[in-house]
Amino acid sequence: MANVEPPTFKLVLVGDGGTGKTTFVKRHLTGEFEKKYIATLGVEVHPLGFHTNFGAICFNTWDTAGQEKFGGLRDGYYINGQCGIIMFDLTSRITYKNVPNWHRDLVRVCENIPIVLCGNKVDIKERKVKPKNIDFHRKKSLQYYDISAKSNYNFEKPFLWLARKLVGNPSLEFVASPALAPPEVAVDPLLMAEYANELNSAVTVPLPEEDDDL
Amino acid sequence: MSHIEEAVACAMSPTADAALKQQATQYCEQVRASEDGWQPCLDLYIREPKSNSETRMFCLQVVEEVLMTRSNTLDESRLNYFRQTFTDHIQREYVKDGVDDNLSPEPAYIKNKFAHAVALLFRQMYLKSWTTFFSEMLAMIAPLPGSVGKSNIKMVDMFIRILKAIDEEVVNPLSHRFTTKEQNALNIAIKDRMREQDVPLLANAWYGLLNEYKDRRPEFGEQLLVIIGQYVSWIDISLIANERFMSLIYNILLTNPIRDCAAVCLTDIVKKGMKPLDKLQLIGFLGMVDVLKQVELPDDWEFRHRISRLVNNLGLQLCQIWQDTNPQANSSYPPEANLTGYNHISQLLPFLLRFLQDDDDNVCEAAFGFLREILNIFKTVKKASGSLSQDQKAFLRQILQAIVMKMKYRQDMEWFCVAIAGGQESVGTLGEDSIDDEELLEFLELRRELKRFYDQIAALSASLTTTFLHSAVTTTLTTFANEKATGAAGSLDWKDLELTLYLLYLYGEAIKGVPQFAVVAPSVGANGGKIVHPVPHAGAPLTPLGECLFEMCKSGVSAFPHPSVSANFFEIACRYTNFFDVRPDCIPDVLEAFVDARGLHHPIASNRTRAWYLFWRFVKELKVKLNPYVETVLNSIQDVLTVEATLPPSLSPDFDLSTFKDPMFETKTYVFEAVGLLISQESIPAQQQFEYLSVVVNPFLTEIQKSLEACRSIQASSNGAIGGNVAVGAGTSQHNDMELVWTLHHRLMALGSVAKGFPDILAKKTPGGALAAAAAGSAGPCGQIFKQVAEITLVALETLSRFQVIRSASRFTFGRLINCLGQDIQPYLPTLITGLLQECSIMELVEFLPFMGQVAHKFKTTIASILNGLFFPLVQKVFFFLNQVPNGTDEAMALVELRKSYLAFLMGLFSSELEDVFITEGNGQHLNLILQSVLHYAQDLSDVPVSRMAFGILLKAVNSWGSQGETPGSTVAPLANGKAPLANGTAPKSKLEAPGFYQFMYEHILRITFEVPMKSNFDLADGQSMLVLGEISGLQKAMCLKQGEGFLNYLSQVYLPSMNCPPDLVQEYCQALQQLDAKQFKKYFQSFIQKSRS
Repeated sequence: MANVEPPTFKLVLVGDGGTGKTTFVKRHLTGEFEKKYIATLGVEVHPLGFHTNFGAICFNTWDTAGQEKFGGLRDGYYINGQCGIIMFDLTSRITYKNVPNWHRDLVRVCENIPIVLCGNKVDIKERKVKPKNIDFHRKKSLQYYDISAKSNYNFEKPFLWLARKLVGNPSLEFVASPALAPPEVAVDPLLMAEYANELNSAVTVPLPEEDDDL
Repeated sequence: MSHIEEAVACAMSPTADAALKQQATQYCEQVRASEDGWQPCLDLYIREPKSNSETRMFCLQVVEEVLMTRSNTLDESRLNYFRQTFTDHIQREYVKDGVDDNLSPEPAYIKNKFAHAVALLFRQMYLKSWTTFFSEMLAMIAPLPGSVGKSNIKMVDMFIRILKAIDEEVVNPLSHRFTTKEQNALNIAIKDRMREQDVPLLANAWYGLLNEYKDRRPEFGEQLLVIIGQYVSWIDISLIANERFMSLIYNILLTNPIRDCAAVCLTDIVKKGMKPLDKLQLIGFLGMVDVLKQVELPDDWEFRHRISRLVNNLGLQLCQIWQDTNPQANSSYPPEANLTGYNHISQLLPFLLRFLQDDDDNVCEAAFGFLREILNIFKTVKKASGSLSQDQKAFLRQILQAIVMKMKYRQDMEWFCVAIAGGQESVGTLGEDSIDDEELLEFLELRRELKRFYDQIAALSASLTTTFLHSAVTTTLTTFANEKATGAAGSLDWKDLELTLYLLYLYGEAIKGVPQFAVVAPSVGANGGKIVHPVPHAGAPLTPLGECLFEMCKSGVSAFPHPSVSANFFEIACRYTNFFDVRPDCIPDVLEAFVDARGLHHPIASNRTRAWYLFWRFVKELKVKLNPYVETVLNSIQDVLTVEATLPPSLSPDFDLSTFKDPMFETKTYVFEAVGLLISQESIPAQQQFEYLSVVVNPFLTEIQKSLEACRSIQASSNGAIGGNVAVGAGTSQHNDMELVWTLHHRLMALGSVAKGFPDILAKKTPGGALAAAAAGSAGPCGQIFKQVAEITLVALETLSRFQVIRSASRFTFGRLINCLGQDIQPYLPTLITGLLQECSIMELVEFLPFMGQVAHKFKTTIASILNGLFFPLVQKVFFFLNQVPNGTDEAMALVELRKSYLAFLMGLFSSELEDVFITEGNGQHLNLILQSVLHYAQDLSDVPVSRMAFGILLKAVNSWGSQGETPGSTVAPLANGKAPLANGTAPKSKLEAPGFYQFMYEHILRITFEVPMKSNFDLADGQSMLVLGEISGLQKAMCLKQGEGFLNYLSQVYLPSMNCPPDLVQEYCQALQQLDAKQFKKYFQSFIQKSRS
């Protein structure tokens, strides 16, 4: 096969400091290795490649880590973003409260892009943001996933959803797993199943007064 | 100024030199942070020719920051400078030449960013100096000369963005702002001023723009509808909810491509927070039902979804109004309001029904909120007036029909064997966790949701639900049976049959009370006038449920060639086992299905394993009724009664047999137990039982015998862990050895499971009602077989006791054999116990101690001599572990468990009348050591329940040995007014003396009964601690009772004075101890402790 560049999309990764954005992108080992060549100061760009049944795809993931609010060029980095991930920390309520602001800032620069909301650190037992309280994505038609960067739990899910949206084909699948750093912690599968269940049942609960279900 | 451009370009460049880039970024930071940095940035932003977009973006960031966080540094003239600059820029960029249909070529993010800056400036200036903000903006939208009445599209584009930014900065509750009180007050004041001054103008402009742009540029129409929806929550509703505006929005809903947004906007209007009567009036005015009737629902699910949401929200609002104005709930509203509300609801119900029937699940689910609330209203109505109206009943029937149809598996959907009930009751299935078919998981979730509605409907009208079920089941099954009989082409597919049976299962969950299968007149019983349902005799006329079950059994539907049908069939048979009391003739239909390829032999693994488990449940429930079929059943399942113990083809170096799981085999043990249950029925003659059991057990004995030869040669170094650095593959001798041991484990477990099905002969009553003596040999002919099992288990254990899995299987099997063999098992116990203890881990000991407790409990004093010899070595083993420093959390947890098991074991000896074991010649010398350990745990308040157990043991000990005197052989005189514990001529229970117990009581027990509750970390407010206090006060009473005057004298003259207790309190205390009963004394003791602590 000719050595052609795979279709590449700019992915903007945002969220409060300490929510685990850098840990998350660094799980992808090839991206972590290649990033060295295009590392910029204000922002690190990680080319995260995936193999799909339609061929290879690459997310140039812009990690704004370290200067979320007050450094670098901030939302200047969002320019020409084609998809986004907003991350918050399931063990910190304030990081979830700030999600609407991140979303607002992101769509101000990138109108109509597919966005995934990710609640990170689901491996930690002291979960503060409960599944039933996570409803922002339903108001704004985002996709939501519980993830755990440290254990690789659901690592591929956000990328798969974005890839399907960007390619416009819901039957797109990843055909091979990317090389991931070995998990540092394990998640409890029973607990995860319980959360998934709660999330599912939260879907059918009407959103609270005023901003009911959109 | 030019530095900024360079710096931004460098900072954003992917190829720039790292050091240079850092310098550039720092420079940008400096500009941002400096007080007047905004000035060059503002100039750079508006410069012509324009700078590059990245730079202008950065410039706007700097401007935003100063407006947002440092607005106090901006005086009026600076603000005016901003205003002037912004206005000029707008004029130049968005007004000049705005005649054609072209938009400004600025990138969208620059437009948005600039609109945001304008909104920030608006926030600073609107109240004070820029009161004409909106009229200026609107003036710039107005048609320009030469544009033939068309508004200025460039400015409309910008104005929409500004309106959105104002909403975000001032109103929108979703934005999480770090606002101070002052900022909040500012926002409120802005809204007030806008309401007063500008909102009517804005609404008027929206109308004109919406009317113009719905066709001219539909995406602007969409944005306007979104903005109207956002603003409607806080502006005067009549500005939107008026004839002119609503007919425009309805018109869009009915005819325009941007109807999706119209539906959302209407939903926002309906949801506006208002008082019930105002809302009712609004809904009356809106007349939405008439419009909904005209909406053509297209194939496009998204629009149907929006309309379903609109109906849902309108319905939710109306249901809330109904509840608020319900005259029964003491509402202060006029009763007509409630009626009007219901009127609206009933007009909306056909739409609810329509959407519940929608093919698309999203559309259907969007209306669930309304459905739930209307069912709640029905519940309230039924409670108040006793019944529902005809219309309501008719509606309920339609709803039931609709939700049942949604419960049907979709075309092309795959089916997996998951237990209908789910959760704990999923033994033998793969479990939903292992399914990754998301469509299926969503469907199962939807079914659960629908089931809740089904339950609600059943609670509202059991008769409706029953009639529905009966008709659905009999129609489907009769069709099935007819087609089968005539050989006609099947019109039913598995999805119909699966649904029918699923419903039949759900019915039992939904209907309150015990399901009734046959018609019997309930009679009022003699005791307490309770209604009693007499047990119907076999052959009594069936209830509709009974008829459905009968039809299910007799139609032969279980043979339908789809795995879902037989799976549901078994679930139902086990769900309603009592049905077979009424129609025992249906039992063979079920048993036959169980034993052939529909059940235990099913070709699909998860169907098969689920059937194994359900078969056990069926047998357990119906045991006696299955008598006539035992032989046939055993013959048909002989081939199932084998074990397969294959290990993965390659075993990694960290493989450890003791942690390996085989879920398939674990489920199979249910089949073995079921076999035991079947064989051991009393009505089967003993000799017959013996023959059945031999057929099942003998092959195992032979196989074990054979494999033991091979086992002997297994390397002595092997213990179940692979170790080393290399994986072990199939075919190697180490792999073979592992499989050999694993197979042996399975076989022992299988035999134990068969034994588990047998009844407990020690609990068997003699005809006289007393417990059978359970003398040796009472186990009958089967006992001979079980003895063989015991013997071979011991051989296996002796040969391979270093394998943990063999030890645990032996313990399991013996635990079951105790019940089957009674006293006959005793001779085997010493060998067993020695074998088990030889190499045992902490966790094994934790499990072993309850096993010993079980042995003690079963055999009571008859086991005393065996236990006597084993007791101290066992205690030593426990001490060995308890004295270890735990290695990691797991081990620390295990030690906590061990502590509990140890104390429970000691306690069990007292309860099983075996306390003499503590003080026999061999063990008595160690009594002090054991008591000290108990004393230690009693005082350790870090684990309160353990402390309570320890005190409980001390209490038992005092009750047993407390009347001993100071010197051996002497017995303390009982209290003058108390009953002598050993009086009445009965021989003393224990002839043995507990060495040193008298001293121990005075020296330690008495001491800690005061010391422990006085500890500062003893929490008198904690429930667990109160239980400890109860044990302690009981302990004092017991000592007083056993020791009499001597104890009281010691307390009043020696102990309490030594604690500096004032003499009158000493006297009061002793009196209380002597005179109060246990309950009263507990109270007294509690307040005594409280007082002493304060």
